[in-house]
Amino acid sequence: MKPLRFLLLIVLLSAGTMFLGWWAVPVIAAVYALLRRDVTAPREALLAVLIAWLLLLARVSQFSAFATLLDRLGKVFPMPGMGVFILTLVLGMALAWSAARVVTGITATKQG
Amino acid sequence: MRPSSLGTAAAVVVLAATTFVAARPVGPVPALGPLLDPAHGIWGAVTTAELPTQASASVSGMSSTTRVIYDDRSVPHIFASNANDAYRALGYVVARDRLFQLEVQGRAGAGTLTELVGARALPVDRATRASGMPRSAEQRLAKVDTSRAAWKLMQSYVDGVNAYVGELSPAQYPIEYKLLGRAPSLMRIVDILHLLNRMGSTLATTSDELTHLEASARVGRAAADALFPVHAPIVEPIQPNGEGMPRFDSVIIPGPGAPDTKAVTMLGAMGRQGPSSLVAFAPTRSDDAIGSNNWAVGPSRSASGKALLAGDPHLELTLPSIWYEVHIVIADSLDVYGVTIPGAPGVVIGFTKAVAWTFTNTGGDVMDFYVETVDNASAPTKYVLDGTPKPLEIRMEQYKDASGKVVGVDTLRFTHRGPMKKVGTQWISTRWTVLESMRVLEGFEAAARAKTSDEMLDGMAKMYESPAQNMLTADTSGTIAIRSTGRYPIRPGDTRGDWLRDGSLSSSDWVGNWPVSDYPQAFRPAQGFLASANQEPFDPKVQPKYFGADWERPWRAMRINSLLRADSAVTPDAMRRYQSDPGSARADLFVPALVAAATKSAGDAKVARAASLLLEWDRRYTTDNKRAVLFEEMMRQLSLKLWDEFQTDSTRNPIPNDMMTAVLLRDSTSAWWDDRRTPAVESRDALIAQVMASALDSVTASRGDPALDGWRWDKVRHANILHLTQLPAFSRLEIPVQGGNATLWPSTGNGRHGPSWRMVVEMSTPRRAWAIYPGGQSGNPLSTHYDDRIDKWSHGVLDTLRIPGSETDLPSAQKRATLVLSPARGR
Repeated sequence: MKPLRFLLLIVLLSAGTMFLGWWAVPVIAAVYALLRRDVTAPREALLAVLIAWLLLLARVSQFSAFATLLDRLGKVFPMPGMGVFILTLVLGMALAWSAARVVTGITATKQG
Repeated sequence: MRPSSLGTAAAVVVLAATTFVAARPVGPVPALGPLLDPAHGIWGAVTTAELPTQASASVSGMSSTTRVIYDDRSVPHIFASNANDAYRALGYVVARDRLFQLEVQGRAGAGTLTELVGARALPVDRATRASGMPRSAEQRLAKVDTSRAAWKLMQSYVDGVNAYVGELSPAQYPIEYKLLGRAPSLMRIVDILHLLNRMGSTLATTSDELTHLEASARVGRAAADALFPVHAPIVEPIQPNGEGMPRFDSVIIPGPGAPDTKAVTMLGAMGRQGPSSLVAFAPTRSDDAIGSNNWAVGPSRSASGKALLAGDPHLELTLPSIWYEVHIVIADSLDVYGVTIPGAPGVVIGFTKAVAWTFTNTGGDVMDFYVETVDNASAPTKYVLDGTPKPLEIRMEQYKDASGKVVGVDTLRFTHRGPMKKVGTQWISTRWTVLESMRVLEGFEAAARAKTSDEMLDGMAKMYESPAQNMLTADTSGTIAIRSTGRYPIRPGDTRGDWLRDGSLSSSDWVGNWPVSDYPQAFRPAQGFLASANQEPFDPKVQPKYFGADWERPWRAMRINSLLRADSAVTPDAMRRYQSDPGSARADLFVPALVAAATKSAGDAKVARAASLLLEWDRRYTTDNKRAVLFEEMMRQLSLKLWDEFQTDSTRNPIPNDMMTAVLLRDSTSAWWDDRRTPAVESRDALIAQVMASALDSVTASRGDPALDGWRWDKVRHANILHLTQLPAFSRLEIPVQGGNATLWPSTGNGRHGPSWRMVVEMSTPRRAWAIYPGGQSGNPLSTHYDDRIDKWSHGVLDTLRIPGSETDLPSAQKRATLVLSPARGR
C-alpha cells in the first residue's frame, strides 16, 4: 500500500461524500479496485473510508451541538448515540469494502 | 493470490444488502444512506444548530436592504423600510428557525400530512378534509382581491419563506426532514389559510347540539337543559355587571327523567360512534387547560398610574412552541413587538408604542348541525330544501404519500351550508363561521397600526370573524377595553344553536349576524380592571339572548377577579405572579362543603381522617403541597358517583361539569345524589362521605402514607411538551407545574395543554414588557435556544423583553447575531 495512493483514496472518498453524497463511496471504491487490480484493494477501500468518514465526523464533532445530537439520537434509535456513530462508520465500510471486493473478484475471474 | 469465489459471492450479498438499506426506506426506518451520510445526513444538523453571528442572503422581490438583529434571547428585530420588505424578512426569519413546523402546520390544515409522513397520518387528513377546511381555503383564495395590501403582504411573507427554502442544501435541512427522509416543500399562499383554519378548528369547534342530544337521550330534555344550561349559574361575566362579586343564580335542577324518545331515536340512527365522528377534527380538550386568561388594569388601580395588560393564552404545548417572538420596525410607520404563529404573517398578540393587546377564546356558538334529507342514503347526489331537490357539490379527495402513491380516496359532499357527513344512517351537514372567514389577517395588520384601544378594537371588529376572541387592550392614554370580537350568527325561531336543526327547510338557516354594538364589551370600566377566562361573557340578566352554551367553568374568572379586586396598586410583578397563582376558587368552594358533609357522618373514622387531611391543605396547588392529590381524587370520584346516569359505553359521555355540582350542593336531597347502581338511596352527605373514604383509600393505596412525598403535587401533575413528531427524544416531559384543575395555571388531563405565552406589558413611555413561552425560538432540537425558556416558564418567571426602537438602541452585549437581507440581483 503506497501512502500517497492511499492518501489520494481518502481524499477522493471524503470529497465524494462531501460533494456527491454517500453513494459516491461504493462508486469510488469500485473504481479504485478496478484500477488497483489487487486483492488488497477491498481492505484499503475499507480503511480509507473509515478514515475519510471519521474525518468528516470529526469536523461536525467540533460543533457544540454534537453532544446534544448524540444524546437525542440515543433516544430516537434503539441504541446509544455512539452506536449510531459506529453504525455510520460500519455502513460506509460495508459499502466500500463490498463494492471493491465484488470488482476485485470479477476482474480476477476475467484475468484467470 | 486470487480472491475466492465464495468471498466474491458474499461481497455481492453485502453490497446488495447495504445498498438496499442505504437507498430505500425499510418500514418506518428511512433510507440509511442519506440519513447517516456524515456530510449531509443527521450529522450535518449540528452545523445549523446555532445561527451564525453574521449572515446575509438575497431575497427576490425585496426593494431595499433589510437588517435583522437577533438579541440575546434569539428574538429577531426586523428593521425594514417598507411593509413588503418587512414581511419578506418575517417569512425568512420564521423559516430559518421553524421550517419543519411551518410545513407541518400548513399540511395539518390542508389535510396533506400523508405526503410528509406517509399513510400513518391518513385518519387525521381524512378528518381534516371532511371538515371542509381545505375546500374552504381554496375557495377563499379564489375570491381574494389580489390588489389589496393584505394580499401583497401575504405574498411577501411566502416569498421570504421560499427564499430561505431555496437556498438550503440537503445538509442544511432540519433534522426532522432527515429522519423522515424528506425535503422541505415550498410554501404557497393557501397554506396561510390552511393554518388559520386549523386555529379555527382548535378554538371554535362547538358541539353543544351533540351534548344536548346525548344528555336528553339519557335523562330527558328538562334535566339536560338544566345540567347543560345556556347561561352559567355562577355569574362573573367578562362585561362587568357592576356587582363587584360573583353571583350564584338560583337554579332548579329537575331529577333524572325518562329518556327523550326523539333524542334516543336520533342517536340510534347516528350510531355509537356518530356524534364523535361529527367533530372528529376537534382537538381533545382537557378541561380548561386549553382555555386562556387575560386581564388589564387601568391607571386608577396600577402602582405606576399606567395601564397594565397581561396575556396568557392556553393552548396545546408543543416543541417547537406554537409561538415565535418577533419585533418589526418600519421607520415612522410601524413598531410592533409580540408573537406570531409560524405560517401566519403578522403579530398575533403583542404591543406597539401605543397599544397592547391579547386574546382569550370566546367560545360563542358558531357551528351548527342540520339533519338533511337526501335522494339516496348510500350515495346521495341531491338534498332536499323546501321540497325541492338540490344538487350536492361532490368532491373526490385523494391522499398521497411522499412518493405520490395514492394511499386513500374519499368522496365528500357539500350542501349550501357546508360539509355533509354520513353519521350512522343520517346525513348531517355543518355550517361553521371558520369556513367563511375572509379577512382575519387584515385585522392583525390593522391592530399593529392602531393608535388607541378604541381604534384597535374597531378595526378588528370590521375585519376579524373567526375564531371569536375576547380581545383585550390597554393603551398609553390609560384606556383599557375588551370586546368579544368575531362573527356570531343569528338563528331563526328560538335563536338557539344547541339543538340539531331540520336541514330540509331553508327557514332553519342563519338569518344574519350580531351587530358589533351587541357584542360583549367594556371600555374604560368604572371598576378599573377587566378580566376574561373563557367564562360566559354576558351577565344573562343584562343580555339573555342565546350566544352559546359552551362556557368554561367560572373558577379562573372568579380567582383573577378576586385577586384584582384585592389589589388597588397593581405592579407588573404582581401581574406576573397572578399568572401562576396557585389559588383555586373551585377548591375554596368545595373543600368546606366536603368537610361539612363529612362532619355529618360522625363516627366514621376514615371519613373523619379524610376531612382532617383536607383541612390541612391551604387550597393552593403549589408543587410541594401534599393534599391537592386527595381533593382531586375526591372530585373525580364524586363526579363518577353523582352523575352515574351518564356513565354509559358511549364514546361521548356528556358529564355535567363541577359548576353544576356546586349548584347541586345546595339541594341535599336531590334525586341526583342517589347512585342508582347501589341498592341504598344516597343523600348528598352520605354520597360525599362515601367518596371521601374511598378517595383516601385510593390515594393511600397508590401513593402510600399521606405524610410521604408520594403525595407531593410535583409527583402528581406535570406538563408534557411533545415535539410535533411526538418523538420523546425531542420532547420535554414530566415538568412539575404550580397549578391544577381550574387554577390560573390550569393543568389537567395529559398535561399537554397549558399557558402557551405569558406576557405583561406596562403602557408607559418607553413601554416595558416581560414575557415567556414554554420552548425556545429555535425549532432545531440541537440548538441551545430550542427549549431554553422551559425552566423559567415552569417557575413562573418572565424574561424582560428587549425593545430597541432602532438598531443602535440595542446594547452590543445584548446582540447575538445579524442577518442582512438584500434585494436579489436581476430585479
